[in-house]
Amino acid sequence: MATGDHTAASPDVELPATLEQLFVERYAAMVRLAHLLTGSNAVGEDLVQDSLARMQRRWDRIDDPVAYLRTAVVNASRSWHRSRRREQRRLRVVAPVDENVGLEARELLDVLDDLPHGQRTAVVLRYYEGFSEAQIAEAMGCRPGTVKSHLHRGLAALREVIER
Amino acid sequence: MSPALDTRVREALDARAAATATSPDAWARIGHHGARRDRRRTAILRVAAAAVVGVLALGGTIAVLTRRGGESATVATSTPSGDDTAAAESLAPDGGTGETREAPVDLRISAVGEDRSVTFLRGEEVLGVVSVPADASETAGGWVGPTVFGVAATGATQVRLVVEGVVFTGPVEIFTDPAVAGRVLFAAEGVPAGLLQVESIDAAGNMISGFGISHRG
Repeated sequence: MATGDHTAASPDVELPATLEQLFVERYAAMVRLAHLLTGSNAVGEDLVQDSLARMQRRWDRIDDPVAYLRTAVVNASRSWHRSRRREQRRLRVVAPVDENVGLEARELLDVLDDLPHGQRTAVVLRYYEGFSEAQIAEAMGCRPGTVKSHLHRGLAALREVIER
Repeated sequence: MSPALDTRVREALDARAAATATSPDAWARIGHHGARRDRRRTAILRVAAAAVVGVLALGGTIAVLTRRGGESATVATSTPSGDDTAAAESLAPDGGTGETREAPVDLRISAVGEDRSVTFLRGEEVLGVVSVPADASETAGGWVGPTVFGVAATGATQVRLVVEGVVFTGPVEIFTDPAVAGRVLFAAEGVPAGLLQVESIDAAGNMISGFGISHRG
């Protein structure tokens, strides 16, 4: 059972009318998603704030603010991973330690943090948000076949932790 | 996927998500993000505008310099019809080609005083003076009698006229009148109508200056 914020996946849900309403209703959930996508609470929050600030200027042209924000967060985390890879070439970045998380879960999260962005995003959207492959493809802006491939490879890497 | 892996991945993700905290001043920070983004956009627009202005200024400067360079290779052509103004054209320096182009300068002709001299001007710069002798009479459409041309040519020893590729020569007279000092007079009979290249030449045969006019004979 998925435990993430997947309200926007339902077509019957009323869309927020203002940016402030979107912030009130979705900010915390989006920060959690961004935290899972980046591995950093602070970075995730910063990415969500920046994504919301971008939306402010083009609010009138956005049909589905929730889906738009989710895609913006996914794209922002991808950009962040790219710039982080450049930084990692120059200095060793120590990943933040998850407090109050069991050893096995921490190992799984460590592997998740090392996954390529595509695989990591697909796993998070599938098992945290509970999205279908089609919904993941829409959020990531790729084909469902690519999502299937990302999920397969990402889970294979995670399975190694379980089977050790 | 095995149920165990499925469940454990979800639990791990939920555990990290549950540990996520949000800032109490997040809404204000979004405003700061927006303001910072606006400042960055403004700065980028200013730099882009400055770059465009710079490129246009550079292009304009190059165009002006190129045009000035082209002007030095052309000579003015006008019709000494006695009007205060006349259409201006330019003529290739060799004069014999008959090639004409639109003049890049405003060439004015004025008939002044009893001597009926005709002055060729480019702006305030005097390009040359045509003086008509007292015994010449003006008829409709041109001068009758010896046609006298003058060009600004300090140091010139002779003047050469080229009409449609035919060269005319004649006696040279140096003006001593302070008003036109430094100009060379040339008089020739029977110069036919047509495009006329007037050149002043030094002792070595090098052209000192020149201009073209449309002469009515």
